[in-house]
Formats: sequence, structure tokens, C-alpha cells
Amino acid sequence: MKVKFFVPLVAAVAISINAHAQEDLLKLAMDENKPKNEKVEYTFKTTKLINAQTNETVHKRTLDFRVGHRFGNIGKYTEGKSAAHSLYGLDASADIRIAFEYGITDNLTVGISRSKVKENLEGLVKYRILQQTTDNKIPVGLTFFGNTAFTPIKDVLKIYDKTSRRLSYVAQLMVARKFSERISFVLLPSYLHRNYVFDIEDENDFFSLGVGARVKITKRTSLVADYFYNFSQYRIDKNESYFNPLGAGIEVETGGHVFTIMFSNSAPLIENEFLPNTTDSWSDGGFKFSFNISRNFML
Amino acid sequence: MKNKTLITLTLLAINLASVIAQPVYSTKTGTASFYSKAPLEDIEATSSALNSFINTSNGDVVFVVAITSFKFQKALMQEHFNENYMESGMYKTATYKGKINEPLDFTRDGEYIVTTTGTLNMHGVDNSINEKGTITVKDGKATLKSTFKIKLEEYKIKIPRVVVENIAEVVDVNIEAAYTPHVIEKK
Repeated sequence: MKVKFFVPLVAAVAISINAHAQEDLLKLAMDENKPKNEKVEYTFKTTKLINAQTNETVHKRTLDFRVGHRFGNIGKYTEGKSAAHSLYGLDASADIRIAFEYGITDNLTVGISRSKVKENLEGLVKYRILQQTTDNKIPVGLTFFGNTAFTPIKDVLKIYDKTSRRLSYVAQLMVARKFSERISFVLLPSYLHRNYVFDIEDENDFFSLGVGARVKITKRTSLVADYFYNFSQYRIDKNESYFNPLGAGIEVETGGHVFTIMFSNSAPLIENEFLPNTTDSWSDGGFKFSFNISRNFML
Repeated sequence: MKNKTLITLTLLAINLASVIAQPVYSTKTGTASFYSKAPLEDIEATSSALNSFINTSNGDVVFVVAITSFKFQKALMQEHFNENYMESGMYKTATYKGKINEPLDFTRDGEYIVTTTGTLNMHGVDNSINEKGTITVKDGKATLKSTFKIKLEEYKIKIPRVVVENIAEVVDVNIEAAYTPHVIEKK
């Protein structure tokens, strides 16, 4: 009697195992497909946020053509005209930068740029040292940025008696983490060296620490912001005339183009100038409308 | 009492053994590729990390492929594919779970035309798809080939109007997988 009871039980067990076979196969396949130490990609959309570099580099054999434009002050005088008379800075161009950045490999980018401010000619290099992994064995991405800027302006003040005085250098590390699909952060320990400073009390060298963030609001739109704190006693003492750069904006990607529409209190667009020479403050209306266009060409 | 327990255990063991020793065939290196033909641009991508299992006793078949394993000629296309269309950060894999309707015998050489009934999960959307394929058996190895079409709209993959000329609404998919008897790996 009892045997008869057990047989259906066993059969039921067997059937239930068979019924799950398809699910089991899928589970088996999913397990084998689990990413082990996959690299975390696309921490940021492009190589720059507002003022800050990101850990992203240009893809291999791709040319990133970048045009940055910063208008005049929105809330105060620009080039001798009041805010209203310069259409809130739109009549002015605090800085314009045109850059070509090329990906030699997926991890190595080289580039050149020219800016309006001091007519700076810049040569830059960016190298991805570490890439964050999904298993968190490498919890952050690490990229190096370095540049040299040369100002060819007319020596009206007779200060560039040696050509080397026209040079300045920036070395920066971007420590980035993609916390989720939406949220990414970057920390930027930075070092600036200028061969020549106008005021004898000013520092030729100082450290800055930058922080930047991206919050994606849709697949193609993000809020971006960054801030730099300058460890420069000269600037801390003269906090009426020197300020730390702060920028915020919206980044829109349209398939090949990345547009950034932003506001910042700094006028210049390259590190060598905006770190030491941000002389406007957000609080008195010294912030400027600004945009950047990045267009990728596959070569 | 002892007898009954013994019988039960024996039966269970036989059943379990039959489950484990199911004639399961698998591959980890199948290829899945797709082709989009649009007026302005042809887009092609291939993954050679298609994972698949076939249970020849009951026709169960599954496919799994990681979205990030698709490689494109242009890195920017790959970025857009992952970031803007497939959202691979959220929907990491495409899976197919189905049944082959014809009886299978991988011990006999030959070419079989088969049909499947099942569900394709992609971009977080389930759609039932029934497709045709061929299985070629030779020397205990089976190669499955299938070509079918996927309508992007059915998987909630939206194409913005500005790139409508660049991306096809219906994409051709190619599957090729060479199966060998599945060996359960000890961990």
C-alpha cells in the first residue's frame, strides 16, 4: 500500500524536475554568462564636463573636434558695458577655444588647441591608466591629463624677455567612479606650474583639487557640474579678486555630437588660465553663459 | 519499511540521474550578428560569445548573449548601441527560451530543418517568436543556423527622428552555434 503511495510521489518529483529543465538550462546559461571582471564603460559622455576633464578618452582612430565658447558676465559689467547693454554678456566673448583631440589608442589621446585668452596654444595628452571594473576589484577609473600652453601674445609690457616665460603646464589625475547608470563622480588632484607670474607675490606653482559630477536625467541628457578649490595662499589672501571656478550645466548627446550648455564664473576655458585667473564671482553676477560642442569624426 | 525507503531512494536516484545525464549539448562560442540596412548607413555587429544549450530529449533550447559583447566597426556606434538603444547597463543580456518542435537525434548525421517556439527577452521586453533554423549533425557535433528579423519597435527600442535614415526599423539577425555534449564543470 505504502509503496503505491511512494511511487506517485517519486514520479511527481521527477516531473517537477523535468518541468524546471528549461528554466535550469537558462539558469545554467546565465551563470556561464555572468561578467567576471568586465570593464565599466561610459562613465562620462565626453572628455570634459564644464571646466574639468573627465576620465574619458577619445576612441581609437577618432578625432574629437571641440568648440568652446564663453560669453560675458550675465549679472554685471562686461567689457565696459552694463549687463543689459551687452545683452547679459551675449555681446562679449570671454573666451573661445577650438581643439582637435585624437585617439591614438582607446587609452591614449593627444590634442592641440587654441584659445582667445592670451592666444594660448595648447598641446595636451591624456592617458587612461586604470578602468573601473564591475566586480569592484578596481573600484575607480584613473586617467592622467597633462598639457603645455604657450602664449604668443605681443609683449607690450616687456615681460617675456625669455620665451620660456610664455609657457605654463598642468598635470592632473582624474579619479572617477560610475556609481550607477545615472550617477558618476570625478575627483581631480591638479598641479599647475607657470614659468612666469605677473605679481611677484603670486605663486608659480600651486595645487588644486577639483570635483565633478554627472547625473543622467534621460538617456541622452545629463546635469553636469564641477568645482575647483585652489590651494594658493596668494588667492586665499586676495579673495576679493580671485575665486574658485564653479560651473554647472546641461549636457545633451545627439548621436555624434555632444552639446554642453552651461554657466561658469571663470572666463578662460583652459586649466592653465581658469585655475589661476578666475576673477569673477557667482555671488555678484559674474557668471557667464557658455557652450561647448564636441563632434566625433571616425578616421 | 526499509524496503520502501530503498525503493523510493532508488527511484529518485534513477530519476535524478536521468535528469543529470540528459543529452544536453552546449556552446559558449556561438556567434550572433545583426545587420541594419538604412538609406544613409549600414550597421553590422557581431558577438562571438553566444551561450546556448539544447536538451535533445525534450527539445528545450536556450540562448544567452551579453549585449556588451557585440563588437562594432566604429567605437562610437558601439557606445551609442549600448548607451542609447539597448541600455546595456540596465538590460545586460538578450535571452531566448524555447522549444524545438521536431524530435532531435544528435547521434545520427544529417541536416534537419527545425522550428522553435519560445520567448525572446531583450531590452527588458518579452516577445514570443517562432523561427526556423537548420541543424547539421556530423560526428556527434551539431551546428545550428538561423536567420530571422527583429522589429526594434517591439522591444521598445526607439529611433529618434534625426537618425531615422541611419538605422533600420527591422534588423536581420544571424545565429550560428556549434554544439558539443555538455560537460558539467566542477567548481
